[in-house]
Amino acid sequence: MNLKLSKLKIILTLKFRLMMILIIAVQGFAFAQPRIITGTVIAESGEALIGVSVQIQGTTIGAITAVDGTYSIDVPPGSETLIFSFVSMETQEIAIGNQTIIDITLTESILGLEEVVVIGYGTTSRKEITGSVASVSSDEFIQGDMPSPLGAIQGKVAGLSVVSSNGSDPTSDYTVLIRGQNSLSGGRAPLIIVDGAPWGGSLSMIDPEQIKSFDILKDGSAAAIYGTRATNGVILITLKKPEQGDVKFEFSSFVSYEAVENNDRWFDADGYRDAIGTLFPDRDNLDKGASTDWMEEVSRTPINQNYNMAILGGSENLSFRANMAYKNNQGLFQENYSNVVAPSIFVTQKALNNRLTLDYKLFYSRTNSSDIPGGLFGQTIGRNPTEPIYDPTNIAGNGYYDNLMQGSRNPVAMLNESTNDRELNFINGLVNAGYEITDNLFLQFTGSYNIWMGDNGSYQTKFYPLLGKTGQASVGSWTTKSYTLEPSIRYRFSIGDNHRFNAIAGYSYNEGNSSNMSITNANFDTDKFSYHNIAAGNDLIEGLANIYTHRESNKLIAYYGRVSYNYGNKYLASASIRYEGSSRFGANNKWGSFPALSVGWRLNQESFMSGLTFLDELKIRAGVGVTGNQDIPNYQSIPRLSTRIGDSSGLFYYQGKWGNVYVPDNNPNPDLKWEKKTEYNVGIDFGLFKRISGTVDIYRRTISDLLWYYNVPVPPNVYDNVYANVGQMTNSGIEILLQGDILKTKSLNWKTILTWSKNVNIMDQLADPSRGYELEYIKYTPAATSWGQLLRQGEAVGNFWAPVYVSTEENGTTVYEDVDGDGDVDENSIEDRVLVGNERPDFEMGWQNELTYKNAFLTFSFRAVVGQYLINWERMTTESTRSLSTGYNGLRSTLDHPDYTDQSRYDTRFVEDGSYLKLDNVVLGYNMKFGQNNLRLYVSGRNLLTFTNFEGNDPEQVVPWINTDYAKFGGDNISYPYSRTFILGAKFNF
Amino acid sequence: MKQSIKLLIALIIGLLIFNACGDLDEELYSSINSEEWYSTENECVLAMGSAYGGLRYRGTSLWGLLGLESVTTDESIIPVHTNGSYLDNDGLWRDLHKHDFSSYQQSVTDSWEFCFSTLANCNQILYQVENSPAQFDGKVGMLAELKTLRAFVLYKAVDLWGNIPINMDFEDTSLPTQYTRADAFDLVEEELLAAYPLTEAAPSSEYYGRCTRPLAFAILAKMYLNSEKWTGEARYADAIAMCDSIISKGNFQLESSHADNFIIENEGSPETIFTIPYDRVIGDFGFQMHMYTLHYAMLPKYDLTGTWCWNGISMTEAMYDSYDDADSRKAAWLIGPQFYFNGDTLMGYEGGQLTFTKTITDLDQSPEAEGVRVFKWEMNTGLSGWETMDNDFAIFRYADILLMKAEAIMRNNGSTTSSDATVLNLVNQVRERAFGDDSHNYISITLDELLAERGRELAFEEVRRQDLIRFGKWGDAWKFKPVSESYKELFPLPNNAMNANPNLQQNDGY
Repeated sequence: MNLKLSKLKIILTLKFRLMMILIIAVQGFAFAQPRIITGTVIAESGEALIGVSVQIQGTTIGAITAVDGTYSIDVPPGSETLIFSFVSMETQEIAIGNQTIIDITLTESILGLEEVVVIGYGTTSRKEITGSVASVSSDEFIQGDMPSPLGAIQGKVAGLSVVSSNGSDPTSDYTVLIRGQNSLSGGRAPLIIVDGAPWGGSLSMIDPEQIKSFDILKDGSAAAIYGTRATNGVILITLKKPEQGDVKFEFSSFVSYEAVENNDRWFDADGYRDAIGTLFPDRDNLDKGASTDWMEEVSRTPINQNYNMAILGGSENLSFRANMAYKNNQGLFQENYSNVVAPSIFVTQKALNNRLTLDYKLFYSRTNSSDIPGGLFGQTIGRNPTEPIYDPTNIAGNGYYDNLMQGSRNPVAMLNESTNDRELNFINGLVNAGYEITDNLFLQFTGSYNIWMGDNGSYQTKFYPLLGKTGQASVGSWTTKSYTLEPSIRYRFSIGDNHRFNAIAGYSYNEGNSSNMSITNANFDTDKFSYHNIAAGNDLIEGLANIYTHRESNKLIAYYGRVSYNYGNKYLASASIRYEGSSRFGANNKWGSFPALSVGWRLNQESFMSGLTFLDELKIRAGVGVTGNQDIPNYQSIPRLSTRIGDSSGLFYYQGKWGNVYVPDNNPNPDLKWEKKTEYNVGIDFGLFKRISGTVDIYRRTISDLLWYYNVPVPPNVYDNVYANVGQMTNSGIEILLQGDILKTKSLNWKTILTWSKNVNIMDQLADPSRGYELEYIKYTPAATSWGQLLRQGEAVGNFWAPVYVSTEENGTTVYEDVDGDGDVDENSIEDRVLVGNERPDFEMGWQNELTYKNAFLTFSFRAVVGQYLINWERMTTESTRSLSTGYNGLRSTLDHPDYTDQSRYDTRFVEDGSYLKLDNVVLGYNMKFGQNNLRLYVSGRNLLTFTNFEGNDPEQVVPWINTDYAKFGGDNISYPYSRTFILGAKFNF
Repeated sequence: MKQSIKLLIALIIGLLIFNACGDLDEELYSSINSEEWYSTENECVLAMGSAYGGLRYRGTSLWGLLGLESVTTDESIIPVHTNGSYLDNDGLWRDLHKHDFSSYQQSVTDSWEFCFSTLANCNQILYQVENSPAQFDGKVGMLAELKTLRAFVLYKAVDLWGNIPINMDFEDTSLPTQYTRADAFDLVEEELLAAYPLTEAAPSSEYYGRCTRPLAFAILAKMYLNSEKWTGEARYADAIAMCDSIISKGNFQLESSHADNFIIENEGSPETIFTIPYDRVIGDFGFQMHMYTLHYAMLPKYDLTGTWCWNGISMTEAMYDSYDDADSRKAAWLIGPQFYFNGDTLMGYEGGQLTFTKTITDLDQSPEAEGVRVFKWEMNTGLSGWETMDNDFAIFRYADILLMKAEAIMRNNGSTTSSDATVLNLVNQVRERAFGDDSHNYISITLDELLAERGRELAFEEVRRQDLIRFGKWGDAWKFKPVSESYKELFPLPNNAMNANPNLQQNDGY
């Protein structure tokens, strides 16, 4: 090791000495002395620009403008051109001539052509990009309260759908999709990379204030370099880095409160009395005499706080960024809260003449939270409003009123008699080492480690409704670890003046490990222990306590490379390949290749286009790429034996005692492989009149070898299905991004951004009879007592089929239409159902507006999702008089249909058009500058207005993907009440 | 700085070498790769347990054998009650009762899955144990035991579907061919005759809940008794011989009281020949009669508030009326006004005291308390969640063998009525046990009376369907059920089995 290093040093020092000699020699021949050029660089508004790069073309000689915009540069004789460049501004090249003072005004580049775009394993400029990549930087983020930073870019990227899983619930995480859904049973979430390393879990502990930008790789040619994790797209997050210079503080905080809309859809006590008086006048046992607003009893107005402070600074060789975030959220329901404390430190160190750059990052966060008991919301909203909360005669039930109905729990009792604590510790460590071997050859090494450790403990006292035991405790913990090692080499070279190449090659190793444990015990003698002395429960003595541990691991190994080509900034091309293997695939198919190729042509650089001066930019791109999806469960390809603890088939009575059973767990499939996506993407990037710019992308992606469960005969197989790669689907669509300055004056500016996207899905093939895999259709989404959605070959995924409602008879039997006219109505068959609509939208649209007037600003954004259908669970399960006659609360709309007397049924009445237009976000604020310090105050509102015909709470819901688990139907599908969040915030930089 | 660079480079190269092997084999932690099992006696024994698992899960479930063999008969019915929760499954139980069978019904598909996954499991374990390096004393007996279990599920499949696909060899991965009912019958008979000499001869606590020689005799007795109906060939003499093999050994006797067979701790009963053992500690699902039959207002009475019930299954009025009031077995069926143990009245949900009545007025909209409830198995208290009842479920009882022998003798003689002393003696043993004395003994008996006696003795024990078919009453109409065609004596093959194996032909009529 010593020898190699010293040899390298000798070579370098030799070269260096040679160079010095040459330079001095050249200098020696010069007649004139090197002169100094100075000047000031300002922006169009007159503001001095700091940090503008001033460089002598063809040399490495450069300078940076100071705080006041001035610069000073030594210019050797023979120098011809000075290049002024600054991010988001148009680069200018000025001939030096005889001048000694050169002042420049830089204009904003609306196109951001110089903007750095992060692509996999590297960066490029927007000018040079050939794939479909969208970028959102921090000044464009939506402000305010959100469960994860992905909410900051909601509606800002065409083709990226960020939808809250449960309507207005601000704590409900997002479901993120890029270009539709691309798998049947595999994961559909995009790969998330933070600072070059895969994140592998929830993003909720990162505050949007810590993020510098999002770069989203949408198409196959851009994402293919991530191989088997890239089918659903890649979201690259870049966190704010340390900056050299004087020590600076960045402080931001906000307070928000959530205003829940009054729930008029359900009866209150008086309305309920009127209703049963009309409908069931002889049922006098339904009115219990009290008037209770159950929702009011268990909820509150949540007020949340959020603080984020960063300290940054440092010298050229050592700079740092330390961050501390604190978030306190109160949930809508009492006893529900979440506190997050997240300190982090980021250090950049340079050494060896700036050849070696080392980045270290250590991020920690701890979340303490308390959950609400499961099913609380359903119990609250559906409860008879004439029931009292308390009943002093119910001594055995601790004084709570018990309506003695099956499955019905007093919500106040649920909250008071249970504890649900949770703690999550998260650590992320990253080391990034880059060594510049020569000007054009870089060695890079990235290593990162993420660990999530969650703990939970819950206890229900003996008074918890329907517990059936004297106290029940459960504790559990889970750990997920993921680490990645990625060494790579980068080489930049040119042939001649115009042929520029950029190449990288590398290796990647990723390992994931997860384990969890849980213990449940019940029948305690006292509630005083809560869950902290779990062995004390008497169930343990009777053999009824449950204990559980589990562990899994998986590995991913890959070799990758990419070459980019740039001819005079006019003709661009990029080719990449990744050869990757995953432990999840069968022994016959562990490894696969994922190539990609994309090209671009900047037409505006062509001489024949030079006459069109209004054209700032016109680039045509085309790309094709192959990606995979390895987001499937582990261990599917090998034959496993497992125990079946907890199930009555899990023990065997042998020789008078019970013993464990070891059961074959699955039909193994050694041919198991990844689902493969091949995508073609064509795009146009354009800019006009220096005011309008945009992007249009058209794509078509075919995903084959889709994994699903296919029936196989039993015997010879032990199970009646096998997980096999069979199907194929195609997603195609269009994405449009349009942005422009509607107004651009000295004091008033109005910038607008419009995104529009459409995605069409077709299931090309569902079965493969030649290999013995037959499948005519998949019926899924349990709804009431049967299936709700159907997937067939040739049709789109997500179709709702329902029987056609005709009428309800006197005795409560529902009459459906005989759709196929065969004289018999079978509402569970496809023939007697019609296609009502699809759960995926026809198109999605976002519209952002930013108005600035001097120091004040107003932003407002709309989001529309149009054409999707939803099951209105609320109406389906309760819009029937049977809901009232069985002692539950009901919807007021029941009075419009007193003929609906049947049990809960799924049919055309309850599948509604869920199209909506939301005024998502409005921010009104004011910027104040005090010298170098900056204060920004704002008020903002989220989820302010929703325009929709959907009759439920909030049409923004996510339909679970291909859910065939009928045991789960009828669950808590009643969604969160509609609410708006109001925020008051401040940001201070000094 | 130089030090740290050296370290860094060393680290990089070290890691590269370490990981460049590219070893992508999955490492199992919480399960076992089955290629690494079956090498010791203990491992073989533990594997045997998985073959019995299906019995516990679907053997007594409404979505398994109970649904196909009881709900479809004149002994039980599940109306849709008007109040709150009820057991409907979108009309499944009403359809089964009316003999509206389809290849999509869950009871059909799950019972099939039970039979054939047990078969496949047995094949695999037999193969692994036969080829295992472990040699131990009980190996031959274990193989015979598994073959008997395999024959039992095949006997069930022959009874329910008749023309079934059979594969007896784990190494044969081709699509199984479909046997006719007669050929399948012969195969099962052959298997049992070969296996029984090697199995355990007498019941014992060691072999409780497992397949023994008396079980093999019992299955053969059933098969021979039904042979005329299933294959056209009458084999009543063979049936008598098989019953005698059990009776003559004297290993079994009737319990002194009928109810003793169904108490919570009913292990060690001298009357049971083959049982499915249950214990609430073993886990969830299993024998859940309490959930099927109780009205939800009764949960607090039995300290069952932590669980659910569906106010569903009842005995039919006609069957209930066929019990004489002095018959001790009548007490197993719950009727009339309900009280708590301390004497307080138990209220229903539709107002007033909960009072069970025997008449069901409307299958689709039955008031909450209609229907005689099933209390044959002593009701457990304190169960919670999905826990199974503790009572073990007897698949074969000595009382059944006695009645079978009586029937076989009558059929062998071709008589529809008999005063034969042997026949009467057999039936009257059961009768006396039920009435406590000989005051209600038969002095002569007809086949119809024998069927009715079987119905009363063995109600809800999953034999009624087979009995009705054999006695030619399966197609008759009864309340809420129309006449059904003869092809309905067999269930349809489930649709997913048909999809998976294109060799299969659906049973006639479906």
